[in-house]
Amino acid sequence: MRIAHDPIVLVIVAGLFTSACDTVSHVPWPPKGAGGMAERRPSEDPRIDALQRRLMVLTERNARTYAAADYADAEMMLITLRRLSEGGLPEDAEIQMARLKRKLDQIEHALARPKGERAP
Amino acid sequence: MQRPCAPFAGSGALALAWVCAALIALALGLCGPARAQSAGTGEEVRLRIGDVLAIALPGEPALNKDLNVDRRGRVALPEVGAVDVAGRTLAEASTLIRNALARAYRDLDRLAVTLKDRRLYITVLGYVDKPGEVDLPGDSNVQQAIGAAGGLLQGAQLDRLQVRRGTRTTVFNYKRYLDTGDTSLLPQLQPLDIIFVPASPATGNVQINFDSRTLTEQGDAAESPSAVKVFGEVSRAGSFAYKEGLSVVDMIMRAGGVTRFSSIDQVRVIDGGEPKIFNLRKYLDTGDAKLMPPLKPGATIFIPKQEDEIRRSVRTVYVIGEVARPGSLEAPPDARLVEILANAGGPTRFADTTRVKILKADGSVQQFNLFAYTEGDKKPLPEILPGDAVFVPEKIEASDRPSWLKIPPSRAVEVIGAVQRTGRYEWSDEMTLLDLLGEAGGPTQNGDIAHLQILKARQGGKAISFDLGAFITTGGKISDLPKIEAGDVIRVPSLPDSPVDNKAKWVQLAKEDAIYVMGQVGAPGRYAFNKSMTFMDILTAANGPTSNADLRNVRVSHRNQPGSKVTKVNLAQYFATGDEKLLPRVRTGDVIFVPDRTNKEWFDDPAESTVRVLGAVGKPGRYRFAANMTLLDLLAEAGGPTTDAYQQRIVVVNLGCCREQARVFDLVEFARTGDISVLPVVGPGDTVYVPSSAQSEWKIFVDAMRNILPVISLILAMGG
Repeated sequence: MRIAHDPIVLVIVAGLFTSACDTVSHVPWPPKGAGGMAERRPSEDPRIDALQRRLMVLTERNARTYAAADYADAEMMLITLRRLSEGGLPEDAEIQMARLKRKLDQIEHALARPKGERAP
Repeated sequence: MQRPCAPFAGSGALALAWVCAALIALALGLCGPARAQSAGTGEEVRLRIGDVLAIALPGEPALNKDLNVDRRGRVALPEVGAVDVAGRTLAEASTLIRNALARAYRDLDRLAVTLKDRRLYITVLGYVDKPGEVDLPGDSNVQQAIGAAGGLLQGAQLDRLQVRRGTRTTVFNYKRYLDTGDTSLLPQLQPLDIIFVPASPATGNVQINFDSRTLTEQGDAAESPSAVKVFGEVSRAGSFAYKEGLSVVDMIMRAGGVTRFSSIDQVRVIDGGEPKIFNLRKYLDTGDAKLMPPLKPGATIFIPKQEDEIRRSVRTVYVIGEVARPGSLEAPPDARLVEILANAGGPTRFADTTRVKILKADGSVQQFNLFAYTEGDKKPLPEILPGDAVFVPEKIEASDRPSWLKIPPSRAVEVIGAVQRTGRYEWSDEMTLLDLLGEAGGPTQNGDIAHLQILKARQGGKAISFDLGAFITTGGKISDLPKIEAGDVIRVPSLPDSPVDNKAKWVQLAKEDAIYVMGQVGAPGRYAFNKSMTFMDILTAANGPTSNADLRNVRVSHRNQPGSKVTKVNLAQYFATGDEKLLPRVRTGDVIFVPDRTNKEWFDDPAESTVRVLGAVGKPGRYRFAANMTLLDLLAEAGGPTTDAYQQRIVVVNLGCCREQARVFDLVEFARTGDISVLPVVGPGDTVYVPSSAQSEWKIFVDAMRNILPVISLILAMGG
């Protein structure tokens, strides 16, 4: 059987092509996302690691007790920072990083310091 | 016309002169006494200042005139000048005048000099109406001189008038002359005398118009050592001139009589340093003149007050208790109770007139309801006999509540409002506000001591507020307490009992003392608030947030300050962290609003703080997003994907600051692998879209095939 001359085959092939054309005519799906729970994984940005360490130091200085609200805010800001950083939004991550630094400074300022030590 | 006889000459003329002289001497010897008698004295009078001489020379008009003896004792003669005649007899004066005139006139044999009139030039000074010199007839006396000077003024001291003559002063009692008419009591006036009328010492040192009543009330004796002093309970105490024959009663009458407070049983008469008791009452009852001591010059009479002694007589009735003037009264035997009370000044406002008691002399006691009598009670008035006592008791007062009448308004402070015992309290300046509140039992439980109100009656009703709560809490000096004065009103306002139950009481609270709580709280309303309270205090007073309260979006609107300011309060974070910094500082006038979490409007949450979840989910909509939430949380909150959701292609559109991007999440694959790295980032402002399965590639292909299959079948049928 010569397929090329069989009208039935031609019709089927034409229908497949037609459906294929219909399928491929729509906009493709965007790429897969990331960063949704980035705080659960190790950071890849050393600057973020530094801020996290600084927050840990404040934790040891009882920031969770004596600057509770600011500490909670800082934790949330760090989570957001991590997610933005890994979620493909670097500009937003930079802004968030600046905010977090300022928040950590506030916590530093609020915490009691040993005598002779000056506020940062 | 005759000429002056200067050119006399020759012996014939000399003989004629001798004849003339003899005739003149004869004439003088015959006529002198007759002329002296014409002066009225019958004696040889001597001329004095003020006399008027008449000279007459027939045929010579210039010498037919009256000549006044002037103040220097001289008469002025025409052509020849003055001749001093004062102190000379009329004959001597005639000779002097003739001799003087002889220097210019001739033929003076018929010259006649007579005493025509006598005048008195007197000066009247002192307390007279028109002080000055007066011209009086020659025989005038002091009274005429005073009359010519306009008369005496009120206040003149009549018993000390003076006549001054040269350097000599004669004091005489003009009043005695007025009393007796004895002219010998008056000094004889001479020309140029000065009469001085002194003022009474009673007139004082200030010139005013005295009336006779004022002067006589002070007595008429001035500083006379013989004056009788009358004082004590007399109408017009004073010093009165002593007169022979006056008695003690006369002197008391001159002093206006005794007052009703006098004790006439014990009149004291001090005479010569020896006091004597004069029982005037007994004298009046008996008329026995022996009871009255004699009155001597300089005596002192004292009428004591009746309170100074215990009175007891056959007519005495005693009135005691709450009457205006308690004491003893002299009452007739048939006196009635009302008369007795009226004489005692009547019951005071503290008197209990329903229980007037009559203590009879025999020891029995009668009670009488005077109030009922005034209301028409037919019970007759009790008869009061001498020796009885009328006792008007005070109003009955409860042990814990004295009659308010007992404290006059000038000594009372009123305490009203939320205190244990409101009322009027007697005030003393050594008391403080705390003493007064303690006296009133202190504030009640709902007393708002933070807003004590004091109405200052003596400062025009000025109202001041005082925070007693802060004073007690923080401490302070007692002197810092508001100064309370008698007449003030202190009010302790009440805190609203329950704004929910009785909103009408809200108005009791001044707006500057209130704070407002609205929305999802147990008891929204208007609450009393002060500086010592906090946000949580007022939230708790409103029974706290309800279960629907949106704790993350509590708003506080700050009023009473320039501009507008709203503070957002995340109570959820506060409850999570306990950080007091999250709580705002609220003041009176602020409004606290707790929104409803379940029934919020779109504008309650701005788009920048929410994530839109669209497509094939149970509850598409806007959802508030917290930083620690993930896409999974959002999908769960939105009810999860529906059965026709295309779970392999859940799209997240990120709205970043500087770029936008879309990412796909395969929920099915995530469920199979658990790989969290594929979870896309989501943030506030982003959009999550869950497509339906109709949008899958396979579904699209199948649908397309389904569409072309009928066409293929038709072609095959036609070709077959």
